[in-house]
Amino acid sequence: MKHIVQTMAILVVLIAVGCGESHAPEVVVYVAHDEMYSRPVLDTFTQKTGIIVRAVYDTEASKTTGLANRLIAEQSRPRADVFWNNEIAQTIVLANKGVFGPYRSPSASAIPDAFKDLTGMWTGFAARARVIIYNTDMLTEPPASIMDFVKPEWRGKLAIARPLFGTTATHAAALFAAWGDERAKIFVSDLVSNDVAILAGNATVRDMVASGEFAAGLTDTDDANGAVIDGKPVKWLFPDQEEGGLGTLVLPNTVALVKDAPNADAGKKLIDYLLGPEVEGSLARARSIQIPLNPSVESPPEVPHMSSIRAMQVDFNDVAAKMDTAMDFSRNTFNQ
Amino acid sequence: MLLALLAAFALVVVAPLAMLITQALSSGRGYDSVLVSQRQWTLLLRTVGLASAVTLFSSFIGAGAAFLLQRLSAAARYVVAFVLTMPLVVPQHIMAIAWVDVLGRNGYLAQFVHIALPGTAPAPSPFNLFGAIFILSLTAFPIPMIATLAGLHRFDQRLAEAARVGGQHGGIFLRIALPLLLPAIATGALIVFALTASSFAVPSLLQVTTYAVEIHASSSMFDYASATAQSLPLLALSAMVFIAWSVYVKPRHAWLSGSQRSIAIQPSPTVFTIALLFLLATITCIVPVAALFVRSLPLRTYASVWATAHDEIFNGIVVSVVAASVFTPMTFALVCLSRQPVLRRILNTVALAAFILPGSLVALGMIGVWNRSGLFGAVYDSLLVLVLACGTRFFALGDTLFPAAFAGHSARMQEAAAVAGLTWWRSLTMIVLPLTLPLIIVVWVLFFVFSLGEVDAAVLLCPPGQSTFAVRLFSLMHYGPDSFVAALCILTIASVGTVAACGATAAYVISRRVHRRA
Repeated sequence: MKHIVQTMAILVVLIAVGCGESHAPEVVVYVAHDEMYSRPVLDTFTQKTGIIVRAVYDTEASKTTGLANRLIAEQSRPRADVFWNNEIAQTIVLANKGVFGPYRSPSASAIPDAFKDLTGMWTGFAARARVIIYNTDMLTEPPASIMDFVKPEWRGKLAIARPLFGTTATHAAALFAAWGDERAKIFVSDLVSNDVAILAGNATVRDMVASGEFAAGLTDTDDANGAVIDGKPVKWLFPDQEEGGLGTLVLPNTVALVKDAPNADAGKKLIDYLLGPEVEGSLARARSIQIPLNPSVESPPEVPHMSSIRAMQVDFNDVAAKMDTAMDFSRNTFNQ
Repeated sequence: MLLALLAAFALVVVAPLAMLITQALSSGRGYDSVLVSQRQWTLLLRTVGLASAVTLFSSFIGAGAAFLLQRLSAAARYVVAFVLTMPLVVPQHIMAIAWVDVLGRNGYLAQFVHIALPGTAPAPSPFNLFGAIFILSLTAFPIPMIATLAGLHRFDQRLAEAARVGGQHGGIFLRIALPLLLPAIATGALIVFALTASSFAVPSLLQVTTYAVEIHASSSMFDYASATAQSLPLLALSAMVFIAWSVYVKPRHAWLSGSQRSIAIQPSPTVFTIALLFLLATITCIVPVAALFVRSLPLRTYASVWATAHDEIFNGIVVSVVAASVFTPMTFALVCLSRQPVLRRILNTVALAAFILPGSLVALGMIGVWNRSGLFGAVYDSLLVLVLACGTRFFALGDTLFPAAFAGHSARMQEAAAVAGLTWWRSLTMIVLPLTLPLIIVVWVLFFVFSLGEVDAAVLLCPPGQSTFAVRLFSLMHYGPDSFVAALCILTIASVGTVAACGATAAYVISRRVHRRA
């Protein structure tokens, strides 16, 4: 018993030492965006403001659902001030669950209204888009539409990520919102009938297409561009870009202030910084080529301009509302 | 002291599970609607099939490797055993990607066959149940190997010597050695079964939908009631396997007891033994690790990794060492003191449930327990919460392995100690502890390795601004096993190698002392 008491005493001292109050202002941010790109942005924020950023990053393994679940679980005693998500539908779901508080950042004035919440619960910036990646050793005429994924000539040659996580889940929900449940369900069922491979994630789709395991697949601009930079035998294109076509889904990063955030003022400063042109510019210049939403931001020539992309015309609130329906149907269809 | 240990067990293991179940029940979604669906049977069959096949194959490979290792000299045995343990250290997901590179439709093997044997039918795709069985078996076999080695360490060689007088060598193996070591192999198999049944990353990568994948899908929809409901069949399945293991192993507990006098075998490595071990090491360890090393080049990558991830490397090792060092003795003490069969069964069942449940669910329960003001909140905001998470998840390792060891001592040793007038504490520290130290080290090493790779719970519990290198590794994996990720894996192996080398040296020294005393 004496040893246990001694051990407990040592642990208490360790906690006390580890949790000593820091006098420097700080902000806690949960980041679902890739650490490789988000960490330098946060470091720069610290250099500019002196505010220490304590970040928690999500992992590819948990498909951005880890931090979202953590935010919900911590609602009674929030530890985070800011949530930087790498997509939008999940952010809206969390907003609807009361995880966030309102904040209209002055930096968001240049962001188009379609990419921000009117009540200030979240704001979008630096977008990705869904693309078709294809192996140039195997194809000269790649599929140009997501409808090609259900055509017999492509049977067994194409791959998508499991539409239960990340941007693929949002893409599926967007199709339910754009087409209606019936048509979307037929399309999802046809994917299964056409032997479209359902892989673990968008990065796996990229890798499997690059290795020639599959001829083409659906992924995101950041994944696809990484493979191109690495010299893999792949190219990518935006699907459904013909006149009157469906267009591709454009998914912004989103940032939100956590309700009852312990460091709300520092959190607002971080949000202001993330929504500014400097961050959109740096994310555009990175390997992940995030597409700036602010029209005034200059980006390298290889980064597509928003005005050059035919984007799917969907309301993101409708997409979020369809998440459960789409994921339920996808789970029952794909997880057989 | 028992009460204090039970209180600690309740706080570390029981409370998060109870919190999780409470949250799930209060969510309002009925368990029945989830459990009665037709797909549950498909999922159950697939999960059972995968876990059983992987258990069978990995046990066969692991036990075979252990028998072969036993023929080497002690020093060579520890070195080769360490090399063969590598697949356990590298995250399964990365090993699976490496194997897909080899076995895929356009993988290295297919390219080789295409050149060597033109016109041959392409190799079957690894994206199916068989691919998952193959890859998981090759990553899990070190567990039964370690368990079998522990059994061999206690194997009474006089039985084999006696049988050798009147029988053939093969007969001795089948009739004497194998039956005596089956409990050890079964113990390793139990851990493999539980790990495979709850494995998410590899089945998900290879398109095999199991309960773990389904639970992850429910979690991604914030549907905790379904996630916990889908865990119930998994828990029931594992409970059945655990009961079968208990019924089989309990009467044969002497395999780990140290109560039998063992005599060191004279090493007799043959060319065949060495060739088989080399082949196994090449297939399961050397090729994937070498591939990782090549991928990690140039060497300056290591400088970058160290510059940006040394805090996470340090945190990962500290958390793992502290978790293993706190919970291994705690488990041992609890097993020593909780001798009532009913209590023992309850403790073991709860510990096994925490081991089998996906880490993300356990973490949600832990947030409910620890994220509150005061001392609990201070723990939650520090790295200690990760130490506790490892304790919650891996308590079952010691709780499964130690009872057999202690039960073996209790009868004869305690009688002898009582006759000699020793107190219980002195008999424990002077007799039981020295004899079981090799097993304690085995449990410590397993605890350390499992804690080091823990990521599902850690990603939900890492204090802001701090992380472990398992989390760092997975957060970098979006861009595939590139040079940075590969270098981090190699550094993981080097770190574990350092710790394992220390552990192996300690085990070797202790085993020599025990032999001398015996």
